[in-house]
Amino acid sequence: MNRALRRLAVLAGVIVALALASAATAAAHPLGNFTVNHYAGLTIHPDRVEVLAVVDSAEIPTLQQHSQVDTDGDGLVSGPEGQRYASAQCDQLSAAVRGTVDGEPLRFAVRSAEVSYPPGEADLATTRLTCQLSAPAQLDEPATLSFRNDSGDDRIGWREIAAVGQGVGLPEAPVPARSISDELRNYPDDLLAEPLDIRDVTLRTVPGGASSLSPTAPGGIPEIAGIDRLLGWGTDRFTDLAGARLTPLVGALAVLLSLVLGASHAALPGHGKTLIAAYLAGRRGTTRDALLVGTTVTVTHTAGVLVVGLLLSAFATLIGEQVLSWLGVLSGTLVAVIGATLLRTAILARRGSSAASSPVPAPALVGVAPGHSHGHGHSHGHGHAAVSSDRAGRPALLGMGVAAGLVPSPSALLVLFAAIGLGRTWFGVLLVLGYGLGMAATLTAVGLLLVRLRDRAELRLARARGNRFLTRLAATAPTLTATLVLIVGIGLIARSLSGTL
Amino acid sequence: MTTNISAGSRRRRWFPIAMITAGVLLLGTTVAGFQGGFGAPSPLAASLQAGEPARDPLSRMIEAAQQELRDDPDDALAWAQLGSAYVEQARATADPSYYQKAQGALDRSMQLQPEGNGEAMIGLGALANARHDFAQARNWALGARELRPATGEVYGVLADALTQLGDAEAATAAVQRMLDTKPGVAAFTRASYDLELHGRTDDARLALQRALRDSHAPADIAFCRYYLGELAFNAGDLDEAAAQYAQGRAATRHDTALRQGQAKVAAARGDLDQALAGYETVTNRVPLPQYLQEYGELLLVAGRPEQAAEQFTLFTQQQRLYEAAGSTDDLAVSQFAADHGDPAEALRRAQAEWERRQSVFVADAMAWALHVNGRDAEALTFADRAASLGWHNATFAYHRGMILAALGMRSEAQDQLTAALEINPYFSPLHAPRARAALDELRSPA
Repeated sequence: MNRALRRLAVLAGVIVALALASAATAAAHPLGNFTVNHYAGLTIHPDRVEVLAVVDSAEIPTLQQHSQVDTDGDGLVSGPEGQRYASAQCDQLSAAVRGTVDGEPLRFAVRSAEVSYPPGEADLATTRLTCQLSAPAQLDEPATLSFRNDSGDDRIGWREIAAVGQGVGLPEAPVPARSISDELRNYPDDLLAEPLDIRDVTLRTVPGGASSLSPTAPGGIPEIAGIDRLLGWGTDRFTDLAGARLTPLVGALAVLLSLVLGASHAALPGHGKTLIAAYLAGRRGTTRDALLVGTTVTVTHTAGVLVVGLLLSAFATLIGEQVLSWLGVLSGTLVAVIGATLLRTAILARRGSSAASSPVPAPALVGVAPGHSHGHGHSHGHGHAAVSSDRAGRPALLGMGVAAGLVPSPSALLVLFAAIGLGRTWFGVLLVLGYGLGMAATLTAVGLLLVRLRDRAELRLARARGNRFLTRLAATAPTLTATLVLIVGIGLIARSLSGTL
Repeated sequence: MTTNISAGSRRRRWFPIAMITAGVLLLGTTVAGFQGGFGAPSPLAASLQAGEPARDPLSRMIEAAQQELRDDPDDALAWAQLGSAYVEQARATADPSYYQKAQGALDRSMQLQPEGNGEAMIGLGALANARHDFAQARNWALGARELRPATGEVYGVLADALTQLGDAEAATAAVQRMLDTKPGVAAFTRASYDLELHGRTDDARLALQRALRDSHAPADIAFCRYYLGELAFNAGDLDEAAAQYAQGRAATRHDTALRQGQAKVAAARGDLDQALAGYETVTNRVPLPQYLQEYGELLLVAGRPEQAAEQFTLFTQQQRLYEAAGSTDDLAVSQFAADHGDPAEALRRAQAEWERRQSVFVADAMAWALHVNGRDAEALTFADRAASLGWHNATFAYHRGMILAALGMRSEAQDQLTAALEINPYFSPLHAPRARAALDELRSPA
């Protein structure tokens, strides 16, 4: 029994290993055996610009360069020979690339130089030159950064640039944050795209922000640097995992990490998701409501990431940043519509309450985000309240859930892209699902917490019923909170639009 | 109360599904909206436009087909057209990654429409020609002719295949048919080649000039200028050749064939440094076997045998890569082996190619391979066959002359070697001097 189980596990491991091995030994040079391919990955820090420059030479250019590398002519490339060659090549490259910040030229220095010879076709080697370049730069204020890599113009090949900010935002970056070829290891096989030929890029930089894909998320509030950096680090590992060797342990770790990242993503302030949790607490939400919202967010977010991810990878003409911005507008509109509906209900209810003796309860908002949860709204009326608020509130609640899940999280998108790029789409989908579940867990937890808090506050409020101010506040609360939802919605639209237009 | 609850619970079931569906639909339509209305151009397209202000018609056509297929990925005709355009683009840019794309696009088209897909068959034929699989190309072209007897491209593919397979009469007929159905750049350039092979060099030049007049795309202009330059060079007219190559390069800066032409002219004029620099650029950009061999031979002439050996090693490894990828170019290997010390291999390869096709090109290779193996009597029959079309080819004449000399037919040998040097005194930096030396020896009384 035990042995049978173990055998099964070994078999499963072998199958996974075989599947991965066959993916890894794909033809080394889909671009032709005489191409020389260039990648430049820019990482932009507030005080410097780092460039990871990779040059992937196919079999024939590797042979053509051989006499330059093998200086003692013994037919082999010794360690020192390789190192000398790498240093010389990286020096050349560093002199050939051009970068400016607001017109001021960047002076790149070589931080490290490496060369390796991955095997190619017909027992011939290919060359992989990796240069780490760095140039000091002042990017603690908005600036325009341009970069150009024309080196090796005399050869045919793939030319790619990616750019990511670390503590610097890159709004509307025209290049992706991550290499679509896994830094020239895995060239995408898209019949409807030209071989990539990107030699230069001009980026707008703003201080702060985690990555070029950092979207104008609903309720985006300035980042908190510490948590942000930690999450940035986690996201990097997350994305790496999609490309790591997929042992069962790594798989389990990746899923776990995706849960944690999703949970922390939802906990970050400035996300519309917290709005729901707060809203939930205000409108006499039950545990079931909390779970429902969690499910809605997970389903919408997972579906959203998958749809946007698949569309973005299928259509080269789409720009991720813009899609996210427009989704932000859509999400804001949804929130605003809900706000407007609630406001209408609240006004009708107040009118009704002056006619009838018992006021119809309307949803109340406890706070827009944690840290702002001061105004403890409360609605009157008990007993039948659950039923009528159910009728008015549940669609709104679901709408909130959809609005919150509508804008795909950039890190979830990145991991999906990485997985698609590596031909492990299903693993990517699994990780995205985990991410959504993590988000849902946080939201549900916050929701439940607020439900408990509200119950206690309500108790106190009931004791202090004599207080006229509180009574009046309680009566106007539905209107106030509905207005607040509307304002937040409009704010979201404005914010997303300002990023788009 | 009861109605309320049941209405509520019904809603409870209905709303989540409706809301989520609506959300996903909204998302889908929003994203789809980018495709049409408010999508900014992709960074790739933008950078391409920035780099190359004047987009050539071929690239524009490729872009249009790609766009069309993004909207309707099941359009078999669009896939076929895209595939054919990729084959053309591979030739125009010398970037071989387009061949794989072409194969993918054409396979996709055939998958979508396995029966009666003439467009895809034309594309597959052109691709087979580009990969030197001429028998396959002929089959595709014949299949496509059944379906599209009035399409010029069918006859273009057919003519190219038949010429290489050695069926000269049928090739000429196909070219004629192409001129009748679609008299354009593609038809006139093919007519020119056919005329040249039959020794009608002046008519060949007229046909190319006609093609040039019809050319608007830079790639077409470069193509016509290159072959006008080749006609001039092969006739020993260096000034005219240089002028044609230069005018071609004015149309497209990066055309490797034109640079190779200029390097050839430099070598013929004795400017070895410039010629070698030119060949270095050419072989860096497009290390085709022919260029590597020419570069190596030029290095030999320049007295740099070690560097020449490097180029010859590259040639050999390039062939191994072709073979690993499942394609063989026995003709090129035979010609190389015959001149660079492997007579047995030269003959083996020439025979392998001769089994596949019996064109004048292969006949010449057979003749020369037999000659270097000392089998000159057999070689002569192949040399006769190579000369059968009447092509004014200096290399063919040189080979024939050397075979005749080896057979002791001195006066015939003198005639042939004289003819070779009259056709083009610069036909090869390595062999032209040998031809002269042999001629001197033949003329001197024995």
